[in-house]
Amino acid sequence: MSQLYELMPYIVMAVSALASTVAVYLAIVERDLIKAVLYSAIQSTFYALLFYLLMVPDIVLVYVPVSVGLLPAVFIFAIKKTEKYEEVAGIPKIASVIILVLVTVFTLIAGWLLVQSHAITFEIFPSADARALAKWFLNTTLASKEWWIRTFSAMSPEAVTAIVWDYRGLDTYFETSVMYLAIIGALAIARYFDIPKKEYKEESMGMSIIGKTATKILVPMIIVVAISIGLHGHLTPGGGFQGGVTAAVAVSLMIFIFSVYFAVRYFKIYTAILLRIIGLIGIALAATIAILIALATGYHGFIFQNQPKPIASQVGLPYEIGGNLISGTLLMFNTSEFLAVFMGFAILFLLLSIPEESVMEVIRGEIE
Amino acid sequence: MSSMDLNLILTIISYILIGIGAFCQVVAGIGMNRFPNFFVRLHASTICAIGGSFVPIIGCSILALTLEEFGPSRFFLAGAGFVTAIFIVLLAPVGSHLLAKAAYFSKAAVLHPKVADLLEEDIKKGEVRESTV
Repeated sequence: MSQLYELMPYIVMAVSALASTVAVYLAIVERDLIKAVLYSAIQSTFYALLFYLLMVPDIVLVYVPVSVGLLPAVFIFAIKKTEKYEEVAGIPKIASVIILVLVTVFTLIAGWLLVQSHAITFEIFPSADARALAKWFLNTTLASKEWWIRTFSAMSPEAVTAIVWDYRGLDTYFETSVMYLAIIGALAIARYFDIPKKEYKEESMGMSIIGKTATKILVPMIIVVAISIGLHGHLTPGGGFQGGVTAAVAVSLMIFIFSVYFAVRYFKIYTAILLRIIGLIGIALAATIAILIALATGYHGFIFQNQPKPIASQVGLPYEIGGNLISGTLLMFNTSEFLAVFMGFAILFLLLSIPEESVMEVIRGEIE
Repeated sequence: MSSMDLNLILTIISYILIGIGAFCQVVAGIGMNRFPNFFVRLHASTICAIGGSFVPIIGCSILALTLEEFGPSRFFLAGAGFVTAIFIVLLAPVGSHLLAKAAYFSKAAVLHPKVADLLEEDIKKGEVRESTV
């Protein structure tokens, strides 16, 4: 019986996957839009269960309110606005009750089985296995004298940066490329728009003189702190992304307190795109530098390799230069990421602050 | 013995500053709850920022200077505290000013129990233009 309980999460996963596929099919073939939205909400419920069973509770926390609650609500609202609500024949009451009862019963049965099989626990603290895993990471991130720990080490005292850019570098690469794709999308939408050429006038634009003076003091400080956060990413909490976002605050302050026409003196969109591309090239170079060295010297190397691995690969970056810890590729990653994120957010803020009139001019010109 | 005496004096000063900070926080909390409209509540929040944050952070920095068992790292603590305090005292009034100005000219905050509004009178007289304030 206990063997069956061990199998239970996989069975529930299979049933959920099948049910979500059926719900997607029904949502596509359904002609009534309200019903289709409800089917897609059922599919999202099963997906949330799947995500939980695949052990990504953080995604479940985001997925349940957004995809089960918010998205169907927005869809129903939009349908209500586009069509007359009365013309859409609503679901018969019996059908909706049956669907609701089936989903509730399935959720309860699945939950009970999962509790029986220890896939879900009600304990506050995580199990001892996770602690062992954390202990392993904490022991191996920074150097140790044993050569076999050096094999797994990222040579960085900051475990989060080590995990993010060394142990799970490929994960982070795709995660971070989502943001870069979003910025590329924004640039593609706004490719004909430009900030109108207008002279910045000190007395008639922006907020009061008190705010401007304080911002003049503050902006260099913010950028210095941001660079410090970015460059110390392999030593202290923080890193390239956090530093870049902090520096982007300076751009938004300049736009809001002074004016866009003041901010474009220092951050032109095309210069920002160029610097961002330099940052992206830096990330790609840091990811492949070990394999490039290996190709040049005739050894073996891996993508996202940081330190030399005594068994598999002899090449790697030095973890210190002149006694200063740089943790191999982590410093390169953090610097490039800082530049790319800073300039990416600067582009976004500048694009968002283009006045509506000039955007509408361009759009009307295209249509005509 | 003189350094001990100096330490004692600095400790007493820092505890007094921290006590003033605690008092100001309580006063600001009462004011936030009891004041009738936006502008006087903004005054309460400024008391919280200056009296309740700037003064006790200075006190904590002085206290950190006196703790000799911390070694040289006490100077880092104190320096960070002083820098934070300077930024709070520079920037908290700016934030309050911009908030008050935006709330006044957008007419988002209702000035209900109005005792005096000198700015309104000046604008009516034409001495002050709205764009230059």
